[in-house]
Amino acid sequence: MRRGRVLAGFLLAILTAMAAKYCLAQAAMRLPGELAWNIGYDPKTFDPAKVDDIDSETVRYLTGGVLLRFNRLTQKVEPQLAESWNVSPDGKTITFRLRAGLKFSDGSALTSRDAAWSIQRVLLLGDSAPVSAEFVAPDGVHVDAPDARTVIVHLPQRVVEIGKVFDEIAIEPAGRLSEGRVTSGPFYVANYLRSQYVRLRRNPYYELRDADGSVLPRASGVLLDIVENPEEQIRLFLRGDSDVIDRLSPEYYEMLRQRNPGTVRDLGPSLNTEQMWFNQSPASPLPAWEKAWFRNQAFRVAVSQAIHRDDIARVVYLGHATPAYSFISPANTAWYNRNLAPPRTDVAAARAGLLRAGFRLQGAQLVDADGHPVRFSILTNAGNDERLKMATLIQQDLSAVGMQVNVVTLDFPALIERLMHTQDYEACLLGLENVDADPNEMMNIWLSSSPNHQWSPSEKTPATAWEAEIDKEMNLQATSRSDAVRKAAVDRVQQIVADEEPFIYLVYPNVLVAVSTRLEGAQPAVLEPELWWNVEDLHLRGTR
Amino acid sequence: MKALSRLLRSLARTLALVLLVMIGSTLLVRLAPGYLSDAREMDARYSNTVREELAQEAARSHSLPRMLAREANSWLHGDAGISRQFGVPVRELIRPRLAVTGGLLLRSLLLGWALALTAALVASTRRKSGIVWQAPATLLLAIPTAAMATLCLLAGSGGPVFVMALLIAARDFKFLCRMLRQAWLEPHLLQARAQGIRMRRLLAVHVAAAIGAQLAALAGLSLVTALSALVPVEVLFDVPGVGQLAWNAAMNRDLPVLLAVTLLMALAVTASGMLGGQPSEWERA
Repeated sequence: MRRGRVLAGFLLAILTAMAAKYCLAQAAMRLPGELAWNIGYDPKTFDPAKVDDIDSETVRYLTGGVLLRFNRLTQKVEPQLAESWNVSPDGKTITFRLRAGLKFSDGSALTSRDAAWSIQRVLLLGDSAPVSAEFVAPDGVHVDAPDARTVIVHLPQRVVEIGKVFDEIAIEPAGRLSEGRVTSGPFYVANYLRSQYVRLRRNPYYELRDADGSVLPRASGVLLDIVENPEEQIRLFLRGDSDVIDRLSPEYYEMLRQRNPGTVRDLGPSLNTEQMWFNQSPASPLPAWEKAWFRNQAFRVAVSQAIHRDDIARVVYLGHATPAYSFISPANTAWYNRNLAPPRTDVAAARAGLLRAGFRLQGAQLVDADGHPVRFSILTNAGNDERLKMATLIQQDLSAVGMQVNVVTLDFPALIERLMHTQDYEACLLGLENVDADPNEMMNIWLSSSPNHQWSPSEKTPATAWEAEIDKEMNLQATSRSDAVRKAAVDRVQQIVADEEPFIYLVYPNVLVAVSTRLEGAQPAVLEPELWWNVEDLHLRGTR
Repeated sequence: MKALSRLLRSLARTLALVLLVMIGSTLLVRLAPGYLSDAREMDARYSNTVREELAQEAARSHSLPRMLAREANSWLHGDAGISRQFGVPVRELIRPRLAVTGGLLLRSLLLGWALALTAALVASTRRKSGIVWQAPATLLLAIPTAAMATLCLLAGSGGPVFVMALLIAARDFKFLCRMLRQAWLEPHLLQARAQGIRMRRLLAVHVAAAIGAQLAALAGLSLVTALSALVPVEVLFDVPGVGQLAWNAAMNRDLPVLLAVTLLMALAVTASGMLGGQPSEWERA
């Protein structure tokens, strides 16, 4: 009898093994000649005019034909659907001449009427189209199409680096919204399965050719798998189901480097910064003495001097980051101030500075002139390992000068509420993503009246003389026609920020990417999209 | 008549549960820090007009009764509201994910039960329930689901079905083993075994009948176990199902989505409880 039960168990085990094999099988689907990589979430929209998230931006970049393309490698604007363009001497009129014989992906003709309509639509959408704000005064912009191949844009005032704005405006068929199904770019949206993938197919009417006249894009399509989990992204890459990974974390970079050394690349410092700042807002509910510390320049400088940025780069980023002292990264060669003289790491100088500012040590604890112990919390967002580690290292560094620091992590909505609404925080550690090299993009961070002037948002008038000077210099760089004047103004702002330390810059994380050895044509760049900015040239080996 | 009143009672209980879930979820989300904030506020590209619109939207979302009325209204219209995060009807978000999650649950339950039954059948042949059989199940139960999933990811083998099946198997094994052991020791089974009745017939006619009602209850419990593991498993393995949606909704304070998912989960648990309890009620009747 027992033998019978064992036999039944054995049969069940075989059935279980078969079921397990079926259950654990995961099918990967990729069409011949198709490129594949991952996006984190569903694109919020396929309407190219309304893009405001990174995943929709990826789809727009791959599908939207634009008049001008900003070359991420040379950092120069190049004609794309336009064969030529010029800006009038006063900077208020831009004239585009379209290429001859342009067509949309459904075979219909693309004329200046479509281009004018697409630009006007972005302007009319106003706040729903984030790119419209880049025209500074979108209400006053007029667009004409005097003939089938000419588009003229009249601006009410000069806009700095106006060419780059047209890199973000996809030309769509006039009056026919297609949500990416009919496009003028290299690909069009062929299929979208929510939460699973977006499949793009090659636009058969794409007019652009490479230097030897070959049809572009070289790949037959792009499969964008929606994969949020970075571990899963790595697994897909290692399995050959994905060709590239951007924004690799240092840990995954090192892991891939050990497993597949030829696939990873460290492109050096990015344009992004990681920084901490103290809450200097008069509206914050902090006690008066804490506000006094945070508004004290000597206090902020001492904190900056006590932080070992080299250790952060070495320990937190495993050497894949560069110590930062300015809001402009050395990768931004045109705007970085090479003569910057910031207060460098020097713990002895930090202690001396604090003593001069009226602080004193009571045993191992730093206290202010009134005897209040210097104790505060650094807030950062939960789920970001690097920031948590940086905060922990800063906690350790500041204990060396007698400051007691707590590290608090909050999920993003809760963090935003503290920063933007209640202002109930002491210090915050976050990063800033700079998608554009031009400092004009940072106006809302530096102008004292802006809600994104994080250390003291929405000031009615500049709270300090140095903030007033930053306002003046930033406005100057935004309006000047002289590149030299603009550069001088931005250099001055960098020096003021380095002296006053409203943001204590920590590191510029390096751009870490992985590229499959099967992929040809990849020329990773520091600017986004780092890996597929030249998607027309990308193809898998042997499928060209 | 009795059946009808029982049905009405069940319906009233379910309705009360739905109302409680609705009020409880809305209250929790409303009180969660950051409910009134929006990620766009941190984006320096947005103009003051957008910020004003966001502030007005936040002001509209301030009152709890108004929030409840809005959610109830959207449910009455059948679209379960508009997702705050994705800006599309919740119904559209959930429908494709339900199929994914349903498939995952079904496969995990089948594999989990097959594993548990196999192990229980073999273990119940032993006179005593040895540590060799109990220890792995206890160990698996002690490991958090998320840790198990992470281990699989790091090892590069095993997937969401495997993790959930292991969890279900570990939880059900002990019950199944005890049930089978007791069944084998029933006097009529001992008699049947002594008479040399064939194994297949014993299992099909006697053992299955003896443990049938308990198996139904256990099936309900298995479903609850699987549902409880759904969120970490789907999030870690990147399965585009309802659990992953729930996690994203919680992280983004997306009340309409959270409410829909919570209601679905509550109804699934209630239904599984009712199904599990039904056979024993029939038996008593």
